Amino acid sequence: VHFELRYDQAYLLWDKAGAIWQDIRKANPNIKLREAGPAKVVMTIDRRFQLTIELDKLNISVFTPPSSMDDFIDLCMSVVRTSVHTLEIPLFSRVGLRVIYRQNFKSRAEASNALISTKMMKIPEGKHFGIEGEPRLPHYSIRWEGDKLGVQVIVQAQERKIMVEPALGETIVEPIEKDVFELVFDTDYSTIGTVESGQFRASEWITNGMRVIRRDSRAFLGG
Amino acid sequence: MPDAQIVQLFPTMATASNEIRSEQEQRVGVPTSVAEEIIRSPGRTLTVEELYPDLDTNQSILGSALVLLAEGETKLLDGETLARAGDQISADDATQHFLALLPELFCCRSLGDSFATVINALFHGLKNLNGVPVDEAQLTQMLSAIRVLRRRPFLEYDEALAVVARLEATGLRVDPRGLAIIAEALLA
Repeated sequence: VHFELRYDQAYLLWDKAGAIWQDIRKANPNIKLREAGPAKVVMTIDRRFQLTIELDKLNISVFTPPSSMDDFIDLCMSVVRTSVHTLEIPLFSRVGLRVIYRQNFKSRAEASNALISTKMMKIPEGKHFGIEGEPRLPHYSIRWEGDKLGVQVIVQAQERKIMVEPALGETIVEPIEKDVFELVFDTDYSTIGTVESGQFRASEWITNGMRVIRRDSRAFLGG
Repeated sequence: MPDAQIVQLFPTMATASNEIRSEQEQRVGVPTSVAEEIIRSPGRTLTVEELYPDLDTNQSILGSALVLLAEGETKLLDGETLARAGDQISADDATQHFLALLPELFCCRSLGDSFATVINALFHGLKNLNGVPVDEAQLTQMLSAIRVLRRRPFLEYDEALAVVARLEATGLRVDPRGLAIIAEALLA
């Protein structure tokens, strides 16, 4: 799950980035620095949360989320409160909530067929483009827009290769090489108009957004 | 003939999906970070109701507060119209109906200190009148305060203090009555 705020360039970040992160560290002592630059700082907490604050956007992500989102929501609330207040951000140009679900399969064909079998896409049979083959790694994408909110939905089969190679001479750790075949359901729910900071609270936005995404995803996932 | 170029017609953006991955991980096939959106010129500002379109008024404090604030705005608007028409009794009646909503709005104070401060000021401002009807200027400022809360329920504390100051400027005493007694005792 990814939560994001975009805003006009907040130059105060150059003066106050340290104060913001110090404040976040007080509440989250396990925070670890991953990347630091004048326009972007990335930190992680317990290899579960990733926090990024940039000149023009702020992003908080949670990986392998549990059934309860409470700790993610609490983290978003405190980081947004600190950042918006410190950077004196009056207006958000975009507020986004992106939720990505994955289901693993044994093979590329199995992942592909899982999406093809939903009949969301019209796929012609037989030989095409001079290729006698099978459709692989299909990708379906559609976007809805109102004048205030929008959502982009992507359903796709994909393949990832995970390779972890220990340092030369390291004998304790075995190298890892693994292919992952998965079906991904990805929804990006966001505002289209601007939002005043006084209108916004992360807990309301995330709770409301998650409910909308779960409820309306049924149209794609079939209950 | 020059080489063909891929031209991006619209700048695009999506909610970032950076993930914690080992540096060695590689992706094959279609990447997941492709959700894209055409950037629009900054549109109009959303209302709170538009930003949270599916609030459950039974479970969400914000949902309850917005319903009460809308009702309060209607009462004050009626009161202001009646006061302008010279019907002070009906205007006062509308104000009393508004006053009855304030304890419920106070129950929504978990929305923030700023929200609670404004609601408190409205409540004590009306209570401290001791039965004297509100005048038109006071009604107008109370209406303005409720509209600020409807538009920005999570306003900054400084803004809430400015709203309270405007209420005080119309002659409303926004502090609890007991506080005045304590202050007088201390001064004595």
